[in-house]
Amino acid sequence: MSAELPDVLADPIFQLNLTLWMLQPLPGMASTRPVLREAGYTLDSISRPLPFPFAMRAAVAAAAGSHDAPCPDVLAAGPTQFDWLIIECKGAGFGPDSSAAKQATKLLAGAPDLTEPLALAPGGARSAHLTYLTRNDHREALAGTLEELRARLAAGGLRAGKSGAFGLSREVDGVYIERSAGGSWPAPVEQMLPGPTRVIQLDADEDPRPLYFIPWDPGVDQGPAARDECKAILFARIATEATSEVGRTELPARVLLDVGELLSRATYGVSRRWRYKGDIDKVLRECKRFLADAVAPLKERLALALPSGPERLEFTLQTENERDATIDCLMKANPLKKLPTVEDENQLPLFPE
Amino acid sequence: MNEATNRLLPPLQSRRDFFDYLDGYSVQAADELFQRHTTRGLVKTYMLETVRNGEPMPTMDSIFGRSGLQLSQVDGDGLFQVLDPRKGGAVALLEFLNDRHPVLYTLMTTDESDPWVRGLVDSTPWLDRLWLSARLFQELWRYVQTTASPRRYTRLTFEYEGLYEVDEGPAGEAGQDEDEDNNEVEPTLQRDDDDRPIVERRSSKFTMVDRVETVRQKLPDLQNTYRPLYSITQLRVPGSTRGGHDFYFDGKVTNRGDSFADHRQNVQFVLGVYRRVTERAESTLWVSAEEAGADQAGFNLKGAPVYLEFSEPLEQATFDRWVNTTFERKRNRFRLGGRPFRLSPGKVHVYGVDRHLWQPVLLEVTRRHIIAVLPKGTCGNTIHRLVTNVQRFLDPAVNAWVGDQPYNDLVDQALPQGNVG
Repeated sequence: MSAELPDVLADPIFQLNLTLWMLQPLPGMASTRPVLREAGYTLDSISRPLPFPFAMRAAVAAAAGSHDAPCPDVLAAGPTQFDWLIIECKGAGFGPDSSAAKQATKLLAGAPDLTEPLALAPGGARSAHLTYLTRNDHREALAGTLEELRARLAAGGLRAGKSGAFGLSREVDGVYIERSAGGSWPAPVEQMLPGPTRVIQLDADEDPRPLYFIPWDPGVDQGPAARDECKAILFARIATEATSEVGRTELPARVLLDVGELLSRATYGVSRRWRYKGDIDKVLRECKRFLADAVAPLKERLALALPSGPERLEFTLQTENERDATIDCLMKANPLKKLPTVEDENQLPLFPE
Repeated sequence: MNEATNRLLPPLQSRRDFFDYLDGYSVQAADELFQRHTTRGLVKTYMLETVRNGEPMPTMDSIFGRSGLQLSQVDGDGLFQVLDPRKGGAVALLEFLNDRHPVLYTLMTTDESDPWVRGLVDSTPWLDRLWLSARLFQELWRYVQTTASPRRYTRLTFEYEGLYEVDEGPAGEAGQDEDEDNNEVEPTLQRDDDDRPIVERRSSKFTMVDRVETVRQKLPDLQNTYRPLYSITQLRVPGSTRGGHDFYFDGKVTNRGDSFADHRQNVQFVLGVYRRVTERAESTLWVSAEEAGADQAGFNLKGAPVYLEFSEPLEQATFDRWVNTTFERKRNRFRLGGRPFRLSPGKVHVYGVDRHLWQPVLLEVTRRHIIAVLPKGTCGNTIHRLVTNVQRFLDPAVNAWVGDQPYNDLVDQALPQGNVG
């Protein structure tokens, strides 16, 4: 009997991180089962841009509105002789005329040969399969949308890659993945996933979330609760990176914490791929505010300064006691604490009197 | 507080003088041990970890200086006296037996030397102890069986302390006892005062002293019968003459033989084994982390998981107590810190740090398993520390993997060729 579908399974950040876990080297009996890894797939990259060959650009622009390079959530290298997997995470299905269909169209158009987008040596096409990951009840409809988009590309004279959709469901003993009946699949995937397959073993009341490698993406559409929780994880990761920096600094020193660098480390470099400067600036300022709030009890003792452009924190550590106190503040900072939003920032002092 | 010790090293000038002194001291101590009336501190060695090869780190002067200690070079060839003004002079010798693992030799008694070394290691992220897991001890035991006479005596200690288990009562009741400053090993049965509840928890400490051939015959059956006997925490390696060398799980080695030179050779041998295992683990991690190749137009994960599976699920109270007394405590056995995210009753995520080298670490802790994601550059010693402490305090029969490689396979064949049959 299926348990009630929790919202988290429809959260693209959950889906992205689950995908990454399905590609991790883990023992076969682990609670999180790396089914894609077992099928022979390994992680190639996250958010990697796949620019189209020049010869295709006009046709792609005609079909998808532009030939801007698509950046799929995950690219997984496949076993020799089999398609790689281009994996996209979606909270819900979409129709062939929706805005999300443009990205899918581009990815389908690029999938037959990734040789140029990956700058591989010429000779022999490197084909890929476009795989969408979504909630299980949207699986077949999404696979149908992809088939329709393939047909439209063919009608426009473009080749299209093969496609299909994975669906996620929560059962009483864990999270299951199931591939769509519609579309087509590389043989290793067919063999590994003959039917619904458990990828996370859970107790009945257990939260399904795995550790988040990538806790945040400003471009992802999430519900408010999921967004707050993911931001809290991001803040915790930022605090950890700041702690690491402070702990390893030789004293005495004027410590400079570059928030952009901390953010990059906390997202395994993915933040450097975020496209919209406004998004990046907002997250940087929120991270800075979180760190500043964390060390606020020491602001005078450490001569804390908060220059911007690039966003950073500066403070002076003279002694081991000061270092210990700073680390203590960073590690005890509550990432779930509600701070004034960035929109309020201009109206509020960073440290209320 | 006056901390002066009467276990100071004499004011000698050269490596030869010091090592001759320790050799002579060992002979006298061994004589007294065999007559069962020694009151002197035995020569003890503490094996330490620094950083992976090539990683930058501060000077040893700076590292020891954090604890108010001074180093004075002897002979200019990698040997230093460690001067502790609080104790009145030179309390130890520091030697780099290899470029990654310095060792400390001291004559202080265990009561003095253990907290002294702990204070030193806790004061800096650049040092850690060596953590000899039960699997590593199994490998060293295999070495003993192969190289020592079957008629020689050996000694194995098996120790499991269910430190986080509580028979009855609220889970957080005894949560104060994780602080290492206040607690070495909890008694099985705590205070029995009228106004205090009796708190019982599982605890096994079993020492087996017998001939090598006897232990070899009996041990496998015993381990199959009683799981805590997998948790080897001490092994005596028979010396080349009288007595032997007691290796402990936390990197301490006590010389109960009559030759310091033999003691030092044994330490050097174990360091070599340990280093091979550690570097094999690191290599496994980084191969996993960088398998996508050099082209990084996209971004890959520069980390890989370490997976520990408990032999049976932890009790909820044990789980709660462990989580509550570990990650938010500055001093804890695991040297891991961070603010736990409690996702559901038996599941916690910690986006935290390893206090050795202050490396970020991601942890998922459930009643069934621990997953640690270690970033590129993490010292392999972290894996040994995690495995060793889980085995000693949470589950003596825990299984571990580095990526998809069994930890046991990384330890297998760590002995140099020709040392085992």
